[in-house]
Amino acid sequence: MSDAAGRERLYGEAAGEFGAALERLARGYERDPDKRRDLLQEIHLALWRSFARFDGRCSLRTWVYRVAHNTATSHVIRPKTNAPAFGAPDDDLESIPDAADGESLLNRRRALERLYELIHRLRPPDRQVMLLYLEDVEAVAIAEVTGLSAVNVATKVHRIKQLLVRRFYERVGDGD
Amino acid sequence: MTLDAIKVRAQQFDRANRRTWALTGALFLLILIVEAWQVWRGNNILERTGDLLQIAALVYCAYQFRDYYAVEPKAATLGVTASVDFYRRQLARQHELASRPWRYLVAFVPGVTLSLFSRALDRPFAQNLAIAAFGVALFLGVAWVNMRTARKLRREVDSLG
Repeated sequence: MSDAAGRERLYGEAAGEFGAALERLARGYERDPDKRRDLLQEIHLALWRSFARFDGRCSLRTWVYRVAHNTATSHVIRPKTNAPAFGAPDDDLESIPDAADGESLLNRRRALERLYELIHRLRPPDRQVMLLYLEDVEAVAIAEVTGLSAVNVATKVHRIKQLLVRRFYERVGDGD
Repeated sequence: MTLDAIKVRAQQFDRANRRTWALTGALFLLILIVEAWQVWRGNNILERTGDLLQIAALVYCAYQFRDYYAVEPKAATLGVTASVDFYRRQLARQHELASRPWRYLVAFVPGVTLSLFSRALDRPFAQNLAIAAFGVALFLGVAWVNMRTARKLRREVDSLG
């Protein structure tokens, strides 16, 4: 599909259906809030441009996730300057209220923050698999986005989950 | 982001891209003109030959890097490339650039050597030796850093299977 109206319709559909998922994806790749906003814009821009070549040979979801992960991967492996310290404050996480029902909410916020910290440490291919898994994308669809086999995806998910759980509790054990 | 905001961003991006390429080209041309002017005005034939060879090396490297940047991922291809393949290609491209530093460094050796040694007879031996040692160390240092980066990238590509 290459006509302007079709491109606008596709972009509208993608932004509406996957907008929130793309925000979470950007958070999985960039911990600095300002850079994350830039990355999200870059992803949307890449999506808009890419729809000039969308021919329907794969599903819209696969296309959107490929464009988003490939753009984010380019962002991650680009040489960095002024990288923020690990675990820099996150504006979205900060915006979750502390007081509502006290400790459980605060614990949830900390757990989420820690989970993203651990995801940031993964290599791009593992990160891609894990972020898609966390979006409830099934193994076959993850395979289509990443180019891995479905069996390989399932194995990777299992290993990465184990790794994340171990690291998560190691840090808790360290009194973090 | 709204559709209008995306369209505006796309136009801004294109304009900024064109501006960057135009500025880079203008700067490169300016360097060439200044260098050529110095060659034209110089008296020492060895030094002038050395400067000319350095200009040629600069043009060669600019051409090589132009090829490198020309294969930057285009948005249209992002949707048709599986993400692990895309990552592998990006790493392979960086590896290709880092693994053969001699391809760029050697181009400068004749010009720099001629330029430096054209005035060697006017300087004490120890100074010439120090300059030569510094030059060799600099070239080897750059090559070593590149080779180390290339080895890391190779390992990462291999680990992807």
